Amino acid sequence: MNCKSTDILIVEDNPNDALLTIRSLKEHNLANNIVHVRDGQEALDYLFAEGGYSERDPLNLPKAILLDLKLPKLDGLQVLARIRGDERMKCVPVVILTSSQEEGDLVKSYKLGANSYIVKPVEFESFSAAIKQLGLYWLLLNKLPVQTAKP
Amino acid sequence: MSKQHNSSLAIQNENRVLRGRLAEAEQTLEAIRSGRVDALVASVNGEERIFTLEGEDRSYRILIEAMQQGALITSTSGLILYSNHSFAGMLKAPLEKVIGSLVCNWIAPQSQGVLTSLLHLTPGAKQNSELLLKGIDNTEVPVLLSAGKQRLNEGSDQLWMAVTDLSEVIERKIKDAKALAQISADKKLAASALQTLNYTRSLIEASLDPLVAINPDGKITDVNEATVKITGRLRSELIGVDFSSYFTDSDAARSVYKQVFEEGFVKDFPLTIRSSDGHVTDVLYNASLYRDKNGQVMGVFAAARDITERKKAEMIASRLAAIVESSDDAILGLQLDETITSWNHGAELLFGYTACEMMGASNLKLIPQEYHAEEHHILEKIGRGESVLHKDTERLTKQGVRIHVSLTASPIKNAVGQVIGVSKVAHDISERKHAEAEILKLNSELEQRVKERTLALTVSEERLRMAALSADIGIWDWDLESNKVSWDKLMFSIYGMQETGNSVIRYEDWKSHVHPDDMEKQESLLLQIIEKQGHQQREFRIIRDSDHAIRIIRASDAAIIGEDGKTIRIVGINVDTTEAMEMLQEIRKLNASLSNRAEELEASVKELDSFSYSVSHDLRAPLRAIDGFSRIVEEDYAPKLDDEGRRLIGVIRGEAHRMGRLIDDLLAFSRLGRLKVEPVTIDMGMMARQVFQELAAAEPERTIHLNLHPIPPALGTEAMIRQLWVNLIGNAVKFTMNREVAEIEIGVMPGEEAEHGDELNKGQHLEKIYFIRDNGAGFDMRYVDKLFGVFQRLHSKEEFPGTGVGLALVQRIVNRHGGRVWAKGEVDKGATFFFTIPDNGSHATTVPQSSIKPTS
Repeated sequence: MNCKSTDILIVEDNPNDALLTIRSLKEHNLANNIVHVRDGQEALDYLFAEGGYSERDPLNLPKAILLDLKLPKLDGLQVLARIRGDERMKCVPVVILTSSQEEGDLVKSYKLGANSYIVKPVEFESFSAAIKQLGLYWLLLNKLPVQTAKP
Repeated sequence: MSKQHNSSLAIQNENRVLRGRLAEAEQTLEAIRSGRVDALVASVNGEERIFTLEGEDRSYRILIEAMQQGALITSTSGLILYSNHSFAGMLKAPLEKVIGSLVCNWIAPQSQGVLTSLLHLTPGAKQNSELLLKGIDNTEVPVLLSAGKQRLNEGSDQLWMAVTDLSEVIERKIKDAKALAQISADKKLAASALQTLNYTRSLIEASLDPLVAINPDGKITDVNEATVKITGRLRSELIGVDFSSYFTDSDAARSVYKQVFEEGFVKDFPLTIRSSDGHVTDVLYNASLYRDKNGQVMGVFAAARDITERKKAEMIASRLAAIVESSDDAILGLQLDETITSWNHGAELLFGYTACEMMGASNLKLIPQEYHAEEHHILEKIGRGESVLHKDTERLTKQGVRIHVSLTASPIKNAVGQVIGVSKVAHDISERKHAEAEILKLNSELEQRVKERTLALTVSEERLRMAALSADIGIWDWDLESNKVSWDKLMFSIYGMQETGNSVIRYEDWKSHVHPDDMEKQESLLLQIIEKQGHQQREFRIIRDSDHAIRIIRASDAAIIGEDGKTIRIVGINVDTTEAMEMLQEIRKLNASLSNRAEELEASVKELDSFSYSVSHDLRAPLRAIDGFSRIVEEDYAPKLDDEGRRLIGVIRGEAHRMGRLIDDLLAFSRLGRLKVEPVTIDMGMMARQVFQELAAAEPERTIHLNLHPIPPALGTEAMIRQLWVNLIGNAVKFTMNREVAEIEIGVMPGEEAEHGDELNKGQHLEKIYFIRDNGAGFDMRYVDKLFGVFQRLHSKEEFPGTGVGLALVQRIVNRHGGRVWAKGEVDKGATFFFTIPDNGSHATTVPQSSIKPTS
């Protein structure tokens, strides 16, 4: 499969939202290697190189994860909990990108260690602007600790 | 001169004497003439010479004069015609007083009878009589009188009497009699000499006192039986032994013996005799010498008196005296005339007088005036030998203080039982009287309290009865002994029974009304309370007499316990709870359905919540896709689209945006219902100003004036109140968009209870009513009802954009805070919105928190 280092992992069950997100990111030339998974289980399989992604190098971690909350199989909060529970992935920025304006979801996300919480705007311009902003910040401006186990 | 005078006086004297003699002579002559005098005795030159009138019996007369016996002659009437000197001597009267006097004058009264018989003697007769003469000094002289009557020549009778003085004879007679008696006595004495000796011996032996004869050497020569007894030795053992050896103190005994010799006797000398068995006897020793006819000392007679009893008596007496003295009671002795003869220490303490003050004083001093009669009565009883016991009376102390005493008076009797005095014991009972008074007072207080309590009880009983009556509570009282049950009127009415005359039924009567299915349990419950006592509640059914309806009765029982600790009565109440039970069941049913409804409501709220969550999540995604893909079409296919095509895509996107806002507002409205009210004090003025500035900043091209009056703070949940201002000010800004100068006024006005006050807010005089007024489009008051409804709009979206949720949200926020919101408006003349946020209102309405779980 794709052996290049992943820039961004999009966890999104809605293909339209995923398409719009990827389009926005690419429009602003923020990411080349974008991986899109469709549910929480697939996200974890990808990250931990399990299941369908068992041949993947588990040390190849994305620079940022865009995580929807409402997902089939495992929901976004469960995925977030697993990510923050893993020593290697603790430092990977996770941006919650969701339709939910619920205060409860917001609080839970931050408590579990989300780095950002963005409500998807209905208007495309606003949506695109938001993706641009988060891409700029998390992929270009944000500095992360040096990855120890790099091939 | 003086000589002449003297002689003249002498002559006068002589003349007087001569005249006297002449008168005397004339009297004598007269006497002689009258025959009353037959001899004259004349004293001439110191010699007495008798001149008789008849010469022939002169010699007899001399003899008569010379004899020692008295002689006299009287007339038959007793006139003494003659008396010799001897008779006059017997009478100790001068002769001249005797002659010419009546003889009866000289006879003692008891002898007058004898004289009378003499005076009536027949002539020639003679009589000898012993009679008593009475001398001139009234001394009586016993005489033997011999008298006879003789007839004289001229035929008249004369009496002669010879009187012999018997005084000496009688004296001698007495002497002789005495002498004779002496002789006789001597003879008797001699005759009974031996008898007397035996008698004396018996007396000696019979004496209880030990009698001892001791010779000059101190050896016992004789003893009596008492001595044998007291010494415990035989007579033979005692005789010949030194007497002193039987006394505990022999030296003292010998010295006493010596004293007898020196002084002739000794009297009441205390000694102690020791008997052979060691028993000692205190005695008083009396002894005297005895001598023979010649005065020679023969020895000593000694008598010892056993004083053991006396000592005992003395000890008892002294003990009694000590008791009397140490007694706190006043003990006094009185004579019957109230004179005090003894006064103990207790009396000193009680009355305050010392013994010195009171001994010999009158007891009446101690007795208040009004008790004198009582005292008199006491003394009367004492006089009869009776006692007066524990009489409560009053006495006066020296200080004049009245004290209460209990008095006991007993008679003091002498040896022969005669009452000679009173002994009185007075016990101070002032304390007791005081205590009695105190008790009386307490008693009366207690009585008063009991009275009050009884009254209170009666009142409360009456109240209870009234309460029972008005609450339809029947009262019953079951006497276990008689098995009778007293019922009040309500009991009869509950059971539908005719009242009995005495309101009493039998236990069985009650039992017959109890529902058969309930009977067994009720009886066992009743047995249980009889046994275990206390109280209990029961419920059972009865079949009412009047209509045979089954009624439900609630009963309370309480056991009444008798003196022996056993239950004697059960009292209790019955209440017909049929209706109440029915109502209760109805209420339970209603409650159940209500709680079902509540559950349903809660479920639908939850449903709504998850629905709105889904809306927020799921509806927005397609909208986003519509908008996003429309945009992609716009961008990627722009060359292929004409203007109309681009306009239509614009419409699609515009509607998608609007729907997005609708959904957002709807979600906000829904969220509000679940938001917790956490009131804090909010500076309403500051918040309103901030919100206005933010909103006005979004419309920089417009001129909007805010007239913000000072407004008081409110107690509310900050996020909600901010939303409230956002919506209200936002509305004002929006609906003034067509005005050249928008005017917005915010302020507060005092509450108008009459117009808008409801029950909740009544009494809150200063209810704050916030208002916001604008000069915008206003609204038609006909549609004011729709103003606050969800999705209700009074203007077209072309006129004013909006979702129709804003004011619904406002109303929901105000309601959540317990306040009210309303509006006034007129088309084109602006609108005014009013709302209140009560200080306590935040707690008035709480909506249950429902936790919303996102559906995956």
